[in-house]
Amino acid sequence: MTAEKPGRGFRLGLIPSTGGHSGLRDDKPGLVSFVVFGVGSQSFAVDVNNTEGVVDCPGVAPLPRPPAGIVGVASVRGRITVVFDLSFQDRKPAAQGSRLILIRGDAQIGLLADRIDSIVGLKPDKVKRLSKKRAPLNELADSYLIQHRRQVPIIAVDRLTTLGA
Amino acid sequence: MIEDKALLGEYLSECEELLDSLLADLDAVAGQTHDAKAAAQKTVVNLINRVFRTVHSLKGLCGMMDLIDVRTSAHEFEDLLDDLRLGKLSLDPEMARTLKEAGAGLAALVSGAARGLAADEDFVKFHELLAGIAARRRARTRAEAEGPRLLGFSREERKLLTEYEEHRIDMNLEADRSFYALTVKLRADEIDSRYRVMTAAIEDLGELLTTLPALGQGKGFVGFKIIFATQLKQTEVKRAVEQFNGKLERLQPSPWRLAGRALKTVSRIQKKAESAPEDAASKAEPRGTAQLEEDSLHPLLTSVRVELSQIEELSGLAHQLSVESKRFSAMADRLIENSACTVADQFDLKQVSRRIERDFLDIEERLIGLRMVSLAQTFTRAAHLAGKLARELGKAVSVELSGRSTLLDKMIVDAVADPIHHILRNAIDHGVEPANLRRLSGKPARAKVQLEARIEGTNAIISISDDGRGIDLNEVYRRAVEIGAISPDQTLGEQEMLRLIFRPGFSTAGAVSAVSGRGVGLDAVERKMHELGGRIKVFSEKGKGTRFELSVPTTLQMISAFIVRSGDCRYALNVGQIVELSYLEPHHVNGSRKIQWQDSLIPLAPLAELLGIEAGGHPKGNGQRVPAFIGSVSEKRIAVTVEKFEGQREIIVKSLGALGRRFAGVAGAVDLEGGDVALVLDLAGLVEATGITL
Repeated sequence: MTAEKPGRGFRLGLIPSTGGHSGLRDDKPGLVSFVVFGVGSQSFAVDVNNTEGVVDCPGVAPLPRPPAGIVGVASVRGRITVVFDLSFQDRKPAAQGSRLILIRGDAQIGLLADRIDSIVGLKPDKVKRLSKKRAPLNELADSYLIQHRRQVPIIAVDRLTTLGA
Repeated sequence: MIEDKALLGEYLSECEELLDSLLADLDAVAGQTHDAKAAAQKTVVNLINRVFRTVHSLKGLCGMMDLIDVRTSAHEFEDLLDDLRLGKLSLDPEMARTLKEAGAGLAALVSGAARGLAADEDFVKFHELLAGIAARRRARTRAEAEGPRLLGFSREERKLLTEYEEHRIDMNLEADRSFYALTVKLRADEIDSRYRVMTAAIEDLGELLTTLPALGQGKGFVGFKIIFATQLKQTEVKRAVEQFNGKLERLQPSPWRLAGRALKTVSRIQKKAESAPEDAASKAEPRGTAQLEEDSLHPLLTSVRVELSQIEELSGLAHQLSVESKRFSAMADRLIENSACTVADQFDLKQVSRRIERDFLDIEERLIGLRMVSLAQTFTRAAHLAGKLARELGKAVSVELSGRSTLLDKMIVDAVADPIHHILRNAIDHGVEPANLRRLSGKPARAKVQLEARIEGTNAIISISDDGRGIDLNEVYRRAVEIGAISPDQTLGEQEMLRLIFRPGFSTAGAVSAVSGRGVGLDAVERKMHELGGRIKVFSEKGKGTRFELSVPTTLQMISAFIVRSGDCRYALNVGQIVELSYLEPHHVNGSRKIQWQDSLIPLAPLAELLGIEAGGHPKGNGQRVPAFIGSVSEKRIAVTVEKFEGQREIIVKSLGALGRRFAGVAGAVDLEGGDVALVLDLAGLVEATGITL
């Protein structure tokens, strides 16, 4: 999978799916599509409908005393984007992200990703509620999907705006 | 109450424009009623007409939104305005003042009802006001308008005239004005534009009374007969309307044969109008009462509304293109140097690239201009509020406004409204003395409160002053000691004492009144000013009065910024926050937390420390002097060391979106060349977040 330079990003709906899933699209009846991405050793997913595209991450200007999870701001397509680094969740160093997943909406949020693993399409019943035992992740996600026998938390984008508040 | 937020926003936005126009027009009416000159009277007639149409539009809007109570209230107000137009009510200064109050009352009802905030007593108060106006209604002295008959209008034509048009013809006859009919023919596709130009020109000559259709103009053309009254000589009228290539006739106040013939064709007109194409017919339809109703439902403004965020996005794109066009120009220069193309081509390339650069800059500036709105609405509302408060408190206060047309970014205008209201409330409640005390101290019983705005450089200065009792510095000192803001043995200068009133929890008012002292102090006002990148000053003299001066940038988007480097990053600071640039000797900087500047010792801190990025001390200058700027925070000073000065430039400040307010000390961000982004810093916010005491 490729990502374009800032300013020439693409729509995720047009990306050919990879990772063993054939032609799984958001518009395929009954399926929900997710972008699965990696930050350090952890994988996350985000609903394709909540994203605007993926770009190479431009230079990030660090914010003074940022709330947990936020590293700074970057300019993407002329818009200032607040850059989130989810690696704080497992206490690993901030991801040296080369990709930025742009989140749809007015909050101007981008998620740093070390790698984009795949786009997967799932039947809604394959999306499971996250156990309360996964407390550290509850701040970010309320559900997960299974990929390669591992639980992949699905980011609840509305929670990003209150993260660390 | 309107539940749908999008709908509510749309409704309030439309209402805001109408209410703005309504309040400004009622203000103007009040200003003109003292002037008996004919020109002023004509202006008042036009203003009352516009107020009538505005209230009618508001009524329609409230009806569409199902706000029945407000619609009914607007309808009653509209009826009274109609009586005023028809001369059933006379307009004097007292009436004009009451109309202003009714306008403000309707404004409160319109916005309150949409949000579910309008209380029954608001409606009761409004209806009491209207009842007071209605009580002054008098019967018309003339049972039937005589003017149209005298001017030779046929019976059918007289049927077409509205009561208001008849009334205006009578009034103009009484004023001994001359009447004219201008017959013109227009192509159907140019009616809108040409008709507007014509009527505007005629309104300059006198009063446009009515427009009637004229027949026999040929296929594809529509004819109009515009009837107007004027005091000008016939030669002047002729000269002014000859540009329209129409036929000008003078209508004499007698059964003048020519005028009678010209106007005696209504039945034929109606037949022809019915058979004309629909669009042309609709333009040519005589303006009976029904037509007036339809006309007044048309929007009053020809503008379109655009969400601020859309302009912001366009500004961002334009800025991006502007940056790219600069790169393009530089590339063009390099190409010219290295290519073998002809001198003419080189010249063309240079010209084109410069023009593109200039045009993008122009677009960028125009987009910023689109965000600019005047302070008129804020000032008008503030004046209404002040007048109302004064009446409630039994104080006689004149509110004087100046600089209402000062243009500021819409977001800043919205943001300064609360601080202005807060200071005004304080001025009326605490500043202005009761009339008896004013007389005892030799002042006029009627106090004066002034609200002024002016532009100074890139800032707007808004000052709110009163001629009241002034701030008692002894009381300020006592209160400051009481709340622990200063120690009892501390000695302060006059300005330092005055600035104590901006401390949280500070109030010298003995009791919390219904008007002021609601727990929100001047500290909130000062904080708001800082958020805007502005400042607040106060000047006061005991017994003479107090003046607050708010200084805010005219635009949040384009500012003059000074770029500095700290660590690997560049940062932008509003030049308004920088008092001086300096290079400090290393021995002054090392290990120091304070520095001597002018006559005082001020705090010294590295920018990196303010940013919380590192605590590694001041930048190392390798034995060389260290760059530092002297920053201004609430009249206090702080010296901040940086690694490098990169110079001053005009920048477009971009918003950080919904999360922006969570980042203390950051006002936004700016794109710099090379794809870099720099934070635009708010020095006051950074100092507060760091906990440095100035």
